[in-house]
Amino acid sequence: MTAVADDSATELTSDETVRSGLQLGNRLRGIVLSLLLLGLVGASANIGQLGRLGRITFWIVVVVATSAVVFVSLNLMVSLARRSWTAYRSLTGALLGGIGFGLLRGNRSVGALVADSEFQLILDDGEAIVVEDRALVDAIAKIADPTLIEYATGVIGLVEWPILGAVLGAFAGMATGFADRRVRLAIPTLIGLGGGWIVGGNLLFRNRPDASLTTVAVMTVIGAAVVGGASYLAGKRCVLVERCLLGAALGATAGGWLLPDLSGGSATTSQLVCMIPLGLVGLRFGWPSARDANGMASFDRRARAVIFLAPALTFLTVNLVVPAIRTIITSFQDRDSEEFVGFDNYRELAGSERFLDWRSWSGDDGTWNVLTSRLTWGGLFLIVVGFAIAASINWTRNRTRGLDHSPTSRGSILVGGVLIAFAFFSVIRGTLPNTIWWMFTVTIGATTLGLAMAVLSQKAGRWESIAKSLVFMPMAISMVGASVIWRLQYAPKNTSQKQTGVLNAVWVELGDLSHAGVEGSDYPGWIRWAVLIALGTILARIGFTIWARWQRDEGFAAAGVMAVIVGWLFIEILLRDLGGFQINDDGSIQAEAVAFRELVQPFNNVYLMFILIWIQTGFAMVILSAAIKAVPEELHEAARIDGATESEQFFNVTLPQILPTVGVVLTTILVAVAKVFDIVRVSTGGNFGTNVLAHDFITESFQFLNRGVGSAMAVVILLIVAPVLIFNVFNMQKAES
Amino acid sequence: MRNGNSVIDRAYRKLSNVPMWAMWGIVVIWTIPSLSLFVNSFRSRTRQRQTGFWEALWDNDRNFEAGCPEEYLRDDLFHVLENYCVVLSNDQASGMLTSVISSLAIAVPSTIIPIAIACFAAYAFAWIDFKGRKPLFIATVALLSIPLQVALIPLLRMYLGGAHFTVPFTERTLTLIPDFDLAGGPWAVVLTHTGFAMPFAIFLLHNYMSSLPDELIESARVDGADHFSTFMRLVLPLSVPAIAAFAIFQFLWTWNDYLIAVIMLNSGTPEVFPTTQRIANLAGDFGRTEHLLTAGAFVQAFVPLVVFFSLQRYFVRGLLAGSVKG
Repeated sequence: MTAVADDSATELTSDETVRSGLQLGNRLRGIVLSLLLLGLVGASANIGQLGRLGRITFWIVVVVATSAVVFVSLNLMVSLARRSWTAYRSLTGALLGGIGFGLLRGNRSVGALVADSEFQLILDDGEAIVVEDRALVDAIAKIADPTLIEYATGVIGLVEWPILGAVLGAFAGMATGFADRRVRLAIPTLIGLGGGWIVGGNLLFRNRPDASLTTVAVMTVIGAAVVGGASYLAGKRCVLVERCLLGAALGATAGGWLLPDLSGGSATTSQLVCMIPLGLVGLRFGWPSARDANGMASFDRRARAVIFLAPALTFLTVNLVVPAIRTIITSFQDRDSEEFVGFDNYRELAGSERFLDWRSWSGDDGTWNVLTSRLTWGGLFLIVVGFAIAASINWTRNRTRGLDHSPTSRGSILVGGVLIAFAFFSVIRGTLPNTIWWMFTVTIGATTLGLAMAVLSQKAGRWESIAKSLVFMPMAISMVGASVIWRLQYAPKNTSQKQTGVLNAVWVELGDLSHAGVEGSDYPGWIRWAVLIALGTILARIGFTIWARWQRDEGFAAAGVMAVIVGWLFIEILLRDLGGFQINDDGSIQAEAVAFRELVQPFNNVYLMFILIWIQTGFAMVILSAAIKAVPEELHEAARIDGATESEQFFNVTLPQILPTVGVVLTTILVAVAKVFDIVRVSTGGNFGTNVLAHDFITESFQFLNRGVGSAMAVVILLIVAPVLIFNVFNMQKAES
Repeated sequence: MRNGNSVIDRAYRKLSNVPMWAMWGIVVIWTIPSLSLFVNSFRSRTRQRQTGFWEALWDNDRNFEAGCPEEYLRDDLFHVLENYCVVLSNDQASGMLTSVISSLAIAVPSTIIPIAIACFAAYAFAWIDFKGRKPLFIATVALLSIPLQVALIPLLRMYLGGAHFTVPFTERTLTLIPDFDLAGGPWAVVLTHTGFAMPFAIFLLHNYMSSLPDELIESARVDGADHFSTFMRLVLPLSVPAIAAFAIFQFLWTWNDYLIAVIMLNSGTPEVFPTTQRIANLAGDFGRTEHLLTAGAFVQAFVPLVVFFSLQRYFVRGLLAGSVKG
């Protein structure tokens, strides 16, 4: 995909990695053993759990071993084909015959010896009744005295059906090994006809097709013509006859089974209808001549491709593609998926305030709330400042009008943009804007913080790996666990109690500090002044740094950010406005905690988003850190010789080099966030205006039991993610060629 | 700026190194939440409710209130571990042991089965030359970005009642997959995980297998090895690092999954709930068991953390090799 993937691939193939792979094997064994031991120790307290562990292990082993045996034997079968074509064909025939006849029996199309056979009773007045229960037959026989009882039971039983199929198939396969072409064609055809005769004769009454032979004949010809014609047009002339035979068999099946009504046909018809397709299949089976070495190789390739791919493609189709298509179909159906309703579900979704809520868009007096929001003006201010800085840099450097962006200007424009976006998200509510807000915030937040960690940790020397491990650790914690962890951090307690959550404890303490000396605060008044003086000193120092760097024409982004933070603290403490407090009537203050998850709507969403940022930052950091390390040292060297500062090196050398990786990180996180469910579920249950599409979809489908609208929500998620999908596939094709 | 070498100058340089402070700031902020969970999991119900975790530094207590059976309280260690003692017991209301086993029953097969299946497919895409290989591979990887939600409900219906197909223009319904009554049991979750893991696993393993040297595979073919033995004897052993990377990734993913479990197991008995579902239910039930949530969440996170810290290198490698997983 990118430089990262290529790099890791080459790294993976080195000898060192193979050795480390072996080491890993040992370590894995250690872990598995200790886990088992742990389980045993834990389980020893309770024998019942031990038994359950044993049962589960047994079933896992059985399933895995069976699948392995099937896979290996199929491969051995194909290997056998090289040595003995006849043996291979017999085995294939036996397998196909056995499975085919077994399926017929399993679907209860053909009769069996005792248990669920059928009886047809022809009563005196000529009416025919089909009964499945022998006791019932006897009861009816006593009352109605039927003239004829016909048994649809064969002499062939449950187990005998597949065996019979296997034997017939094996003989047919063996016959295809004969050198004489007439024998090769005749025997499988005869076996096919015979098999059809047996199956047709044993069909249960309810499955006897009321077919007309003309239809069967016409459909046979049509099938042969269609499949053969397609094969001819595709340029496969060497297998034309085989394709025609296959098409004929398919056509005969359709004409005999799909078009006419089932049940009501005579025994002879059903026998004929079985014999025609099976005979054609037999003929097709015997048609090809023995293969030369070249044909053998291509057969081997194709057979292996099928065996190796079939399990994966089956899972992909059954578990992913078909369900996705079904969801798209149900999104156009009513709540019980019975009638098609067109776009009604989407219309209902778009019209509901749960999905998209414009009520906060304008205030009572008709003003736009976006324009009265402090976020908008703060954001606009930052953007203006950013452009002003860029223009002034350009002016000092080149004495021309225009823009010359520095990290400071870019940073403030970016932050300003984020603030304005937040302003919009805070007035347009509903699950759709919330989902997009999540995607926006978490993607930008995690990527920026991850990039910062990746860059900063490089200079941490021997502490680098520890620092990175600690930031990376949340990746191993489940979103449910993370939500529980952050519930502890966000926990609010009412005014009379001590705060148990870190954030509220700090916030309430800050409120106390900024009101030091006021009735109700724990701090004496001088502390506030001491803090103000300290902050003022720091502010002055930062101001001096900025001025000095400005004079030397150097960047001052970090110092600028520091100045903003410290300046904000200074002003807030000066104005006695910082922290969680409330002012009583008598002027004394009282602690007031923030109910982060519940009451601070709509910004409680941001606090939930931070949980995911906490998880995803480590991911972004690891990927970006690897990309940064892959940037060739010579580039930095050259930049250093040209006199670039470290931040210039980062923005002009490193960042352009790792840009594709940043793209990968962004898209990966974007797709992950679109599906966020666990955090919302555990933290708020979707209440307090924090619902997102992926969570609401569950509520709609399982609580409101509206499958139509629920599916429509899933499709909306798919549509949000689809651009990323197209982007990924596009990138991939570029990388492949 | 000062460039001297005296103690004061060095200290000044350290203190004025703002980027370093910013980094450690992030590290501390990222560590405190996990630390608070860990510390609180050893504290009693009253302490957890009344004071913050940091007060454990000077306000140590013996944990007497969780309700652990008398016979476990033999010495001091068990007093501190009392929350864990309850959480790891077989208590129906708050015990996690059952769900730990259920999680294993889901995570272990959901790791092994996709690896096996994806290895076959990755080998076929990398080394077997068949028609339509490239478009098929691209289609497979394109499925990476399909959100789970799109497929979940029809899958659940399939596990509840099998798969049936009504032939168009006729009234006939064919049973394609009979009803195995899988919903409500771990195999439904395992099969779902297997399907969803497929695109990523194939992508990752294919990237690795196709980077193996051509000459190696060719020489094996010249020696008369067919695809099966080339795969089993050569490619599979060489791919152990990539397989390990994916295995760790998949194990963490399945152990930590909540969405698939909650949908597929909703109709099952609480016995089959994995740890995540258990914790989520405990979290939704304020009151008696709230103080056990911390110990429970730590038990839930313990297994992935062990896997993570002991095999971090391989995990990182897996992330690097296939950072497109959604």
